[in-house]
Amino acid sequence: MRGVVLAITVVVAAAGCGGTSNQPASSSAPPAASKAAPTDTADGPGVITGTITFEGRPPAARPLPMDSDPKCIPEPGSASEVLVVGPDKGVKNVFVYVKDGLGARTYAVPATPVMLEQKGCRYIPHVFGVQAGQTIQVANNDTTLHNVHAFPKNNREFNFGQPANVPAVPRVFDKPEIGLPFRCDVHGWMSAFVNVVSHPFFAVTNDTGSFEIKGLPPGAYTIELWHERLGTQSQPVTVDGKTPTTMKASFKQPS
Amino acid sequence: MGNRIVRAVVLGAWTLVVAACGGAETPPAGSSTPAAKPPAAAAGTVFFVSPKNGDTIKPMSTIEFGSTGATVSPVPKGELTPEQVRAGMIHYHLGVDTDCLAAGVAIPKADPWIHFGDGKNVIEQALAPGPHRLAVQAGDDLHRTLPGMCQVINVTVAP
Repeated sequence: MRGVVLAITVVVAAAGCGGTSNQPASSSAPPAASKAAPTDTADGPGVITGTITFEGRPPAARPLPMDSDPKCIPEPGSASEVLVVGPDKGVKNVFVYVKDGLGARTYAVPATPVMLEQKGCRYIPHVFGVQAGQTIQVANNDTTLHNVHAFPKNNREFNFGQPANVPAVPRVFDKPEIGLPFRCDVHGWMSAFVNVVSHPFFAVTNDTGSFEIKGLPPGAYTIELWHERLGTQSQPVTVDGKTPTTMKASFKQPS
Repeated sequence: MGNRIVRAVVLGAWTLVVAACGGAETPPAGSSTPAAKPPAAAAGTVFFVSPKNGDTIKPMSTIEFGSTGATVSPVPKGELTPEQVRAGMIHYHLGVDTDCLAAGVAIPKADPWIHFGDGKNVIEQALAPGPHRLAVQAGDDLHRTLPGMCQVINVTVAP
């Protein structure tokens, strides 16, 4: 009987410890210095500017259904940001980035965090970009409870609850990923999208559908446009470093 | 003899689980709107795997739930009618600084309730330092509370 108990103990201990024969992979690997150090800076002479427009009848602004939580006080003019089209048909919240053409260049991760705010029971900004490895500080500036649930495909999922009056919570995505959604499981209308890229050459279109990407080295690039509802499209552009490269594109209403 | 030992170990483990889970508290009268058609009674329990009642925890701590007598499942997408509700299927809800809701009410999609409609059972929870009251409450596909399927614990968040 003593032998049986000993055997069970050994099996349970081994299972709990995950075995003892293998060293963690990191223990025999060289320090993190094996990763190539950044060699490039985003101070090139190249500039890309552009406007993204909408083809067809723009949708009417749709109010957000915040009735379920009396602590959610909509800010003036707040409405769904799933598809926002301006008076001149410019599309807001299109993520524009260099998809190809940078070759083997590497760029330092900014030390400054990107802020994602929960205010008026919305995420602000609704669409934003970060470099892989850059910190996102998530703040709750409402008086209500939120939770921040990220649904990545290439990165590690997280889900944290954040009541009012607690400090901002830092989170980092290590791998590039476009259109990574955040949702709140308390308030179903709340969503945001982060776009994680390996370099600093990205922008999000403003209220008029305009954007600007600066600091590029001269070269030929593929620019990709991503919109949560309208999808993606790509364009080749050439940046000469002398005059800004102008780009135009339009999205059609999805069928 | 071997079979007796195994049975004893299983029985002991089950006793520990039951003791750790504690009984569901008697819910106070809820303030939510009663559902039109109350859900069928469930024989199961839900409980906190961690932390435990009385624990002191960090300002950002992992909260994990467990259950017996029901199947935890993601909520089907789309609008559901009461007839489409799947019997015996639940998902968790975490209430922060609140008590259990009464059986048969719809859990509000509002502070202080976090819904786990994806069928998961873990969350990191930020809390200000001091005492807090946490509730885990099961809901059916229409987020309606089920008899006896709620537990409340008290924890203290260290500064």
